[in-house]
Amino acid sequence: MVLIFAVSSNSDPFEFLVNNDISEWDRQKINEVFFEYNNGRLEFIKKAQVASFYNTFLVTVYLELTKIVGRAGKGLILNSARKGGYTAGSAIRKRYIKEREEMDKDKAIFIARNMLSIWSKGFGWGDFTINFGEDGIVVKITDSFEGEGYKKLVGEESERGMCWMISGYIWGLLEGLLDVRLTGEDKKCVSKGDEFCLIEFRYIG
Amino acid sequence: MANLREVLEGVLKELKSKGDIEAGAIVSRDGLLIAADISQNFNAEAFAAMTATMLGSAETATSEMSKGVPDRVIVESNDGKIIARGAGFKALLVVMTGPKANLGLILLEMERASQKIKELLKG
Repeated sequence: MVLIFAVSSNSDPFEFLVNNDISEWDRQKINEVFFEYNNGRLEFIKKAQVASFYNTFLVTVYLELTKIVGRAGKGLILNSARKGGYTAGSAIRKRYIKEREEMDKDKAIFIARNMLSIWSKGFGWGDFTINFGEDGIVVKITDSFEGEGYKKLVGEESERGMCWMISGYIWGLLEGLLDVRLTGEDKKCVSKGDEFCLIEFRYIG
Repeated sequence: MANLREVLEGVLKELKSKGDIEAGAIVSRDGLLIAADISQNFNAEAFAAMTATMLGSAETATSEMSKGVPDRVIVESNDGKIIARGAGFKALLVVMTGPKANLGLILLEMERASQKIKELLKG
């Protein structure tokens, strides 16, 4: 069977996000559906203006922040990103419920996978694999934008994981979409010399 | 058998029973919440990040001024105090007190609790 996608400027990206399995889509298709470029302004899902920057940029910010507030810089970035992720996740959940019905766990997981496909192929933050288990959720990131940025900038192994923004964002996104509370821990990171990054989330309560 | 988080929460509960302590938290040096005994009205994660930042900034400042590593940070206001101190290499212990709390007693009890936390977290 051949599926043909006809994407017009009037298509609502939200419908694709909640209805289509986009995990196998290529970058071009994701860009066509979720991104729009107008006179220097790149918009994601017709709402948020987005931009790209070098992978060393964020890590430079993290290291400069660490010089001032010490190790706590990680918590500041991670918590802020978690809040941002939660806002996105809960907004998707609320809109889905408002326009359709209660969002069950399977649908929330389906949308979470789609969101990570966008972050991977659309935004280029790495290649994500996400596994949902009884006790928690494990996210594996290959070629992490932040972890690789640290390696490029510093050239030495870090003593702790450096994927602060993406860890926090995914953490909050999952909490918002699944309507749960999670603890989070970065178990592996390419910045520490690991082959890939691994973040474990566990359900609270 | 209680897990580590529950044991750490027990340390905080015991500490809270010793003086005019309104809330307590054990926070990683990275500013992430490990355990808390805190009202649901507060955002415990944000509190963790803020207090770790307080102590981290104080450490940077004293280090820059060649004054060593601070033992603790005490923030006083009309309505109470926030006290943060190290609890080993991995964690910090933070408490919030009422305005008339016995500071000497609380600091002593915090020192004892910090030692326990250090042993429990093995570092």
